[in-house]
Amino acid sequence: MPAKRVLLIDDEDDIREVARMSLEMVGGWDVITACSGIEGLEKAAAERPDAVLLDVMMPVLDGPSTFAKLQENEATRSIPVILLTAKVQSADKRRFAELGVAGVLTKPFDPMLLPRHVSEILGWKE
Amino acid sequence: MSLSAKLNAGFAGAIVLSAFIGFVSYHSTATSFEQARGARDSLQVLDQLQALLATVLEAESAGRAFRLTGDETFLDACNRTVEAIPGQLTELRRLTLDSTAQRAHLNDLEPAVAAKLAQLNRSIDQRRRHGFEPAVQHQLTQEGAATQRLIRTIIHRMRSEEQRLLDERAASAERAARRALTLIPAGSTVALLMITLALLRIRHDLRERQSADRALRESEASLQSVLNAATEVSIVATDSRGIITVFNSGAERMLGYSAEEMIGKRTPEIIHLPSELEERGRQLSAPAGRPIRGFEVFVYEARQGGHDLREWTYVRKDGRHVAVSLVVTTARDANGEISGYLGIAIDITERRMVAKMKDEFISMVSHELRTPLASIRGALGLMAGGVMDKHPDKARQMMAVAVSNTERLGRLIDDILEIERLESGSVVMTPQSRPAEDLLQQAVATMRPMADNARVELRIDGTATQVYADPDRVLHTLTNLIDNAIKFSPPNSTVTVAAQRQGSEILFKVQDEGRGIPSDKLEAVFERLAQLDSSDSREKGGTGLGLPICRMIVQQHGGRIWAESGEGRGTTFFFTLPAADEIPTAPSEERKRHNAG
Repeated sequence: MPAKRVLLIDDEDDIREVARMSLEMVGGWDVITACSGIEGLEKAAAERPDAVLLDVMMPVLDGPSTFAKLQENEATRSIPVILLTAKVQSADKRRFAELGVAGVLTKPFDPMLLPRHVSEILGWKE
Repeated sequence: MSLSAKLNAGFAGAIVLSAFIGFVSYHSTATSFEQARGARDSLQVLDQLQALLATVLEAESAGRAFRLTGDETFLDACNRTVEAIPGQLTELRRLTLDSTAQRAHLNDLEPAVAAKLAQLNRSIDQRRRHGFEPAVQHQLTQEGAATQRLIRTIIHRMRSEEQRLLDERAASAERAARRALTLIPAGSTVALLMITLALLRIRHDLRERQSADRALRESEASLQSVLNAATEVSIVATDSRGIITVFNSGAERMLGYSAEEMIGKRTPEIIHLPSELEERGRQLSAPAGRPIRGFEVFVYEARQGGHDLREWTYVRKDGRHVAVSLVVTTARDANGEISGYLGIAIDITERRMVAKMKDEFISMVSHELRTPLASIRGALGLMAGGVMDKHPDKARQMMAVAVSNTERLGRLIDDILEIERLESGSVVMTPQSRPAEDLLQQAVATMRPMADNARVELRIDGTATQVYADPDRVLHTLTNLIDNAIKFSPPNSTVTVAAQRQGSEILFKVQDEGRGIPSDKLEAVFERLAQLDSSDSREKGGTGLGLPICRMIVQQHGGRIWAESGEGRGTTFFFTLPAADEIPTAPSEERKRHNAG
């Protein structure tokens, strides 16, 4: 069975790097990264990953807007999206739940458990 | 008792008393008249009795003269005299009709007079037929004398009786007159007194009423002043049906309607959002077991007792919405019946906005703290998890991530604490007079390594001028602005810092040759955590709090801060601080100088 391919979209270089290492080295997955929503849309359409880990607070095109555009595109509509966010207020969580994403993971995260949590949300067998 | 009742009672009393006095006066006058008429009658009776006795004596005397002389002349005189007697008796009977005693006496007198006249006729007849016969005449004279005594006696009694009646009538008339003389002035005095008292009472009541009216007017004016003084509070009162009766200036200001448009014409429904009204009506209808709608929605809870405090959305005349906190209470009359309702509302738009901003700030601070923490936690987690054991180069990379984010977290915490201290006013500025150029030199010296690292030239363009400010805070501001300028400057460009006198102020500026800030963001960059919308700042390791801190420092010195820019033209930040020679010299410093001199 080929390794899962995950698209990681986050404008924070350090977080993107840490998450990438976690998914690659702990999860054993292939990771594609994008530093903005726009780049993420392009890579999602081109690479057709198995899942997208999407930061919420990004300039120009934030996470919810990026998700909406992924949903608008026939080619990317079926890709499950998990939000990865440092916004943990209850009002924010309610707002994210209403978007229709597959799940929400909060920052800071445990890099040793991140792939497992993603798998649980998406129903992937490890 | 009401004023009207007092008036009626006072005047009714006076009228009754006047009527009584009138009656008494009339009665006394009538009695006097009656007694006077009676007295006149009595005097006539006395005269008539006297006349009757004189007539009888005259007839007796004329008859005796005829009997003695036989001269017919005396007889004629006698007859003429006797003819008057029936008329005199008739007059006496008429005059004594009201006296039983006199009528009885008259009953005795009339036969006595008749007997006397019969005796006189007999003696005359005897003389005519038989001439003068002394013995017969003597006998007849004797009989006549007896009858005459009887007549005298009866007349005497009648005169006595009439005299008694006369005295009695005179006394009665006097009593009536005296009573009238007493009652009329006394009654008039009492009536006048009553009217005077009534008038005094009325005047007193009128004064009290005028005083009460004045107090009421003053109270109403005072209440109106209070209502109108509450310009930040909407006060709307209604009658029990909901028609607006009070619409204060605060309500006019908050809602855009004038009092004239609302009072007596509208219910508060017009100033409420219909959807909220319907929703609240549904909430109330279920437990009430009946539909609650329209105006009743506002007052239903208040009617149950107490007051109803809740948030509503008012709709202004221009259609704009105003969030308010409205308390509705009932107004009750003296009997405890609901006479109307009072609604007092305050605009909570700003409160809501502040709460929202506070929530957003907390949310953003939380986000900003969690972001470097996530990097630190992730980097350390990977190393602790052992996945880096075989990748020392990646481990070092992760260590560097942890270190740089720890420093970022530290700066962020420092800035958050600084901004909170500045906002709470716990930071005390200690202004001093300093050469502006010295401060520029210090700031540039501090930032030189960073500029060199970024291959950015720092240039000072200062003039000799003294600034009056807290030097540490000015340096903080300058280094923050130079830090920003270096971050956004391309390599081999120049950042210029300058200070120059401008009126009573010193104008500082920090100018870069970067790509500039869009004009619609020039103001927003001074907002707290404005960088969240711009990864530029974060990319450069900024906390997003540097410029807000600069603004607070400058504002606390009484200065202004702003930015000018254009796409591709670089950005210049300006701020002003007081010039040293514009600050009045403190007495202590003046003394020091004086002593030193």
